[in-house]
Amino acid sequence: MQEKKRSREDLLKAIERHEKNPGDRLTFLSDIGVISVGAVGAGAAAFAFGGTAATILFGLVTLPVAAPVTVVAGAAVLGGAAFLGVKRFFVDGTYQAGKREEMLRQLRDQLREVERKERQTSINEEDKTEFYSFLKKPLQLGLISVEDAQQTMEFVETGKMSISDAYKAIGEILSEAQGLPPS
Amino acid sequence: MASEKLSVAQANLKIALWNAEAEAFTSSHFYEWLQDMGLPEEVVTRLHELVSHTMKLGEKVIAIGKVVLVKIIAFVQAHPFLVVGAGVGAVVGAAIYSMVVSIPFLGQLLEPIARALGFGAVFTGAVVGHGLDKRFKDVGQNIVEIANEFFKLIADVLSAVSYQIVLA
Repeated sequence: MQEKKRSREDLLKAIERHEKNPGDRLTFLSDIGVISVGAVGAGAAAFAFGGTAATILFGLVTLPVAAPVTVVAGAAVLGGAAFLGVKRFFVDGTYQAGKREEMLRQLRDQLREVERKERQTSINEEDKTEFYSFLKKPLQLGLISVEDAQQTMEFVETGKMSISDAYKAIGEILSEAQGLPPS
Repeated sequence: MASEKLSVAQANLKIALWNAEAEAFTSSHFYEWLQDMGLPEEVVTRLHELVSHTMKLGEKVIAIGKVVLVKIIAFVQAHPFLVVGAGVGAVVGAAIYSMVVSIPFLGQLLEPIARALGFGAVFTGAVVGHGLDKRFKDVGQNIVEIANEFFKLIADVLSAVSYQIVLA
């Protein structure tokens, strides 16, 4: 779900440039694809499934108008199940229970968002730079894929992943490669 | 890094990344996406219930339901022509069956959705394609093959760490 694939060399060069010039954060973020991915929060949804996805998915709603026979047949089969679901939704009282559950879910979502923001602000730039340097070795040795390295950096940068979790996961890979027990 | 060569630690990193990605989306995000797919309300409700399912992987809690939902939505998004040809129900059905067959412990999570899609009890192996064919003429087995390829990585990753997994 990333917008642009980087090569192993691209990422290693980006980390090295950042080590030499840690002040130029903007270039680094652009190099590892965080800025183009951009807009954390509200934009995250659009980023994950892309602008085209929305168009395609919205398009699906009106699809049966000109759909082939299989779609129409499928819709008819699924229509029965939908009616059953709606009936149960209103008749057996699951509506209220569902509402309560949804409120709880929203509360948990908000809590996670606050935790994410706390993670993002509590880690300083130096910690992040140190982590990116640490990531160089497994990346050079091919123990971690370019895609995973890029995503790890992006998630640490945006606070989606705590830096300690990231260290732990990468540390496990290194330990495993060296035949050591996980720390 | 080919998926068949994934070590336990590499699989753990993959799951940690998928979890971080999935946890960034709220329950409402998922609900909107599922609604936009044009699925019947019963199926949307069942799929959306996945949001609250978690599993323990060692000491970590993983939002496995959200991870699975992200993969299903990505599968639908990656195959627009398949959706046009076979219908979104068939595509989601193939995704569900592919995961149930290749990742057995997901069966208990996904079985209610399979029933909502009208497939009844969980089938195994080639019967899946046959079951889909009965619903969506002549396309079932092909879609299942496409789905199997798409969900191979998640199946490989979860089977690499399956001994550490406890469903919550």
